[in-house]
Amino acid sequence: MTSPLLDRSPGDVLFRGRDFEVTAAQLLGAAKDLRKQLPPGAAVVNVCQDRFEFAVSLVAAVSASQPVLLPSNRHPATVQALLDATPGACLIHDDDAMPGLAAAHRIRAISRPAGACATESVPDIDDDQLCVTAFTSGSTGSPKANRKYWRTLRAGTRINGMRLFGGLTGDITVVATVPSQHMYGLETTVLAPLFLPLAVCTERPFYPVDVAAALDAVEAPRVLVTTPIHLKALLAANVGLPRVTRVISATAPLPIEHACEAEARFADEVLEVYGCTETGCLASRRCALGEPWRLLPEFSLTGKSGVSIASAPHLHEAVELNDVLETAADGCFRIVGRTADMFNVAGKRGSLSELTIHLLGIPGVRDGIVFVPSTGRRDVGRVAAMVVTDRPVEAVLEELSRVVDQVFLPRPLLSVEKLPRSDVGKLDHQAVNELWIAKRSS
Amino acid sequence: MAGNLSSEERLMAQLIVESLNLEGTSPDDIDPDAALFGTGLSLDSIDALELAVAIAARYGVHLKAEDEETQQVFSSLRALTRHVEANKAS
Repeated sequence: MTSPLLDRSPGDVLFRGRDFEVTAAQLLGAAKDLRKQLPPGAAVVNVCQDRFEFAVSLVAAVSASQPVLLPSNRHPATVQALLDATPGACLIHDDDAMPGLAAAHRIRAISRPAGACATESVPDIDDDQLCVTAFTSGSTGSPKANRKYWRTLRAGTRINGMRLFGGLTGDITVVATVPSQHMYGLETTVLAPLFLPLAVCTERPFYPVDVAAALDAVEAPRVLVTTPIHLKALLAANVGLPRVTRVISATAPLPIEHACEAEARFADEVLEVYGCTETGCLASRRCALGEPWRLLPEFSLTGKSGVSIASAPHLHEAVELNDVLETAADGCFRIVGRTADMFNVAGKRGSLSELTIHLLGIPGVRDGIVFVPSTGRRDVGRVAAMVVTDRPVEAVLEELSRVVDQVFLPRPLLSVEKLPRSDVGKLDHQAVNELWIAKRSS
Repeated sequence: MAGNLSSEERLMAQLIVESLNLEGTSPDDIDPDAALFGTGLSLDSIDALELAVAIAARYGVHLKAEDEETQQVFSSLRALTRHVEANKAS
């Protein structure tokens, strides 16, 4: 079975830049031009930040049946490791050429659609084609590959259209603070305009004033795709914001007071989305109303000894979730906890036990524990650690930073004389927390 | 490193340590010319955002990605302090 690469009319606007628009026909035309430059058969490592440049690169590769690889972040070391692990790969980049990287091939993305563009026929893509491999950094040291087939990408986008972008009317423009390389960003800012009646702002604003300027630059109705961290910063910065029809937040739990404040100040509604790289967007709720989570169409949940498993016809396989869910008879659910070992920072999922193993593996570290403090005043969910060592903590952090993603580095990392281990060597969570509080206040 | 910081730089260093929870780091330990991100203090993009919010609250200066000198602004404590001092409302 095949299905078309996009489902928009040739003249529909898919992307809006500061001084240009990109129609479906122009996107296809630009992708056709870029496809001619692709080394045949090569995997494409797409590090473009601009949404249009990212989309042209993706569409060119998918229509040439060449796989797209998305690094877990844009740190040069991460991208280089991915290039090294993929012989013959082609790096497609934007303004930031990442000059230090060694790639078998490199191409500058197409940054503007050509002036005149003939109507292009829409390529058909095999539903079983492996289109995207999104890497998640995890805490294992080596990134995990999440394979996305055309069937999954296409159906997932249509499902998102029914809920995330459902019930909206008019010429919607999406402004997003999340990178296209992250599954949530890929679904909502690159795949969405291929199938849903909306356009996406090509910029990726980051600082609150940039987000405000990007929203100001587009006409209503506006949708802001963001994360709890970005939304919190936007509210705290106290910048003037135009009316936003819907704010969509994902990657971490959204504090209800931030949802309420956003709705009081500038947003008609804040929709919180739950999901993971393996499932894509899975459920949603109106956070400010204290609603339970409602599954997106096509998804179902089953439970087995406390573990929840999500499945849907378009997913390659059923997915075991890392949260403990309490499901009601109507299929709605509440998240009652996270599987004890797992944590999430900035949309990246890590394992405490794996991080602890990395910490213990550092020369000179005699004992150590990585944990999520119970009384942390930061709500980004960073992990903390205590370590028994004669080495300076900076040296331990430096070694740890070579094997784990930056956001997983414990903060603070405190040096202690010993850990409160029981007679059998076990660490009691409460005792760890008490020692940590005592150390911090000393 | 002690004594190397101007009074403005020390205030900025304090704001960085407080807002980013860098316990174990004394403001005077921060090398005013060392990189804040990547190496040096190893700050990341979440920190950049939190720091931007703290700076807006304390100084009324909003950092923007568009600023020509943005790459420069966060390059060191000294550059950050200079930018904020030059742009804050007097």
